[in-house]
Amino acid sequence: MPTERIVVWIAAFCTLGLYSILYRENKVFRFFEHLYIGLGTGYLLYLTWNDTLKPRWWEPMVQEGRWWWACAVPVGLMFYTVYSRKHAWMSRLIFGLFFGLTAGQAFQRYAAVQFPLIRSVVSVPLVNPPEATAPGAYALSPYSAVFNNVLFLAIVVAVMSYFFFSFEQKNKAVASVSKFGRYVLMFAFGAIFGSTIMARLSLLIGRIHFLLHDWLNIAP
Amino acid sequence: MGKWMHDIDRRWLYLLLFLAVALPMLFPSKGGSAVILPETQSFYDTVERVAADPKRRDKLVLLVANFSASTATENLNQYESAMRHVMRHRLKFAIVSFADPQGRELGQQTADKLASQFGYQYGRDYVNWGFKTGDIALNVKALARDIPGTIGKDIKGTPLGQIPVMQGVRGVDDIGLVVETASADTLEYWLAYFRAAGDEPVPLLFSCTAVMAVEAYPFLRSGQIQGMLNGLKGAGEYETLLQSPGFATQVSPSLSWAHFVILFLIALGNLSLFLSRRRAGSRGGA
Repeated sequence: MPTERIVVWIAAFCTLGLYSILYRENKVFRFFEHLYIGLGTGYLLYLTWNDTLKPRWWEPMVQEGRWWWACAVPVGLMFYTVYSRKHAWMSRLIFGLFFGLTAGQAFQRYAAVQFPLIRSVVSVPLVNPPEATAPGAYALSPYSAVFNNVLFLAIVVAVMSYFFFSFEQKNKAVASVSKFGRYVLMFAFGAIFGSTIMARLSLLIGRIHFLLHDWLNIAP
Repeated sequence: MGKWMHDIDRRWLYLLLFLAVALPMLFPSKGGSAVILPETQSFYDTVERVAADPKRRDKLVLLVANFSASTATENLNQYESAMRHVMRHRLKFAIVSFADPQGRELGQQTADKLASQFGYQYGRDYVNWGFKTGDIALNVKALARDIPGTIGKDIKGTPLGQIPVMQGVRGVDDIGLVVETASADTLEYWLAYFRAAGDEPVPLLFSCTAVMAVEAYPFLRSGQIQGMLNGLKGAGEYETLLQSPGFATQVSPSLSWAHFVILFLIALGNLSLFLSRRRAGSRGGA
């Protein structure tokens, strides 16, 4: 049997083994689950060394005489002092450094990503129709685009009013707007759920196509 | 009747779903033509615009493969179509992965598959920068300033400076287009640290799993991304635009039938709930 066919047979058994969970919990599924996690972790370790650590750290340090890269080792080991009660203070230093770095980046990222979004919300044309090629026009007819924008803004206000908890919403108008906000939120969650279904079905389709086409050769 | 529906063994539903997916594959029909959504059309148009722009067409295209084999049905077909489109216009490109180690391999397999068809040669027309581990934000930020310094060597161990296709490529201003294919939440890094880091904003295209698409739509509206492929459906639409039907087009009927079954089951579940509540209500009334 050629090597390619052997690989296909192994992949088919892996697929069937993993899908056996749909019938009921069993040892075959557990075996393939652990096999898959082990393979994935091993592959990640290999590539971390091969694509990053070896060319960016080991070779410059050993072959190009950049000995100061050796300082990265004790710094990296500081993470593992978390397991020692006596030396755990060292892990706090390095964790604190990374927390700070990540928090700073998160602030920067939030501003860079969200502010243009907010600007696009408050600058939608509500009277003059945008060109069909403009961002957000969705190639709609000019007046459909204006209607779309008005609806969009109304939904933004309604959803924001739903999340306004500073005072009780006794006013009938405010309560109605808030209720409308809750309904459109449900529409959005429905869309996310629908998309999730589509994504999961796509994965199933890929596997079934593999079984019928590549393994059994009964589908074109 | 409500109780019977309530007590259906879930394994019958799995079997029903399997049949809905498998039968259209075993007995393929011609089917209707795909409706092209505006985001797919603008994805296609952006690649065409870059290819026609003398200022951009000689720059490098980044084909970011932030996905693994587990979402290959959606992402790999999107990625292959994007690479095909780029090759059709003879644009130079680089493969890179930051979020998943398998991305570098899947990207290379795609290039190997298409290279002979379009006469592409490794090193001359394209390069694979490999998988870069570590903090994605730092990697992308560093990439905008200094590409050879951030990447170092390609997957074959050659320093980027010695690779012909990388000549003159220093930072974000030497990149003509970024196409990110992702199954992870990595779009924001490109939006925040790369797209607007140069003299002019770099066009950014996003092809993602359907789960992620809903959250990416606002970026399309704000003009932060120029186009998007939404899961397997988006891949099928893109294949239609490229007039190159492939896997995504072939399995579209399965996707449609599976959706129909899910909708039917949702309706059945709601009917069952409605009937059981009514029965409980009538008992309570008595």
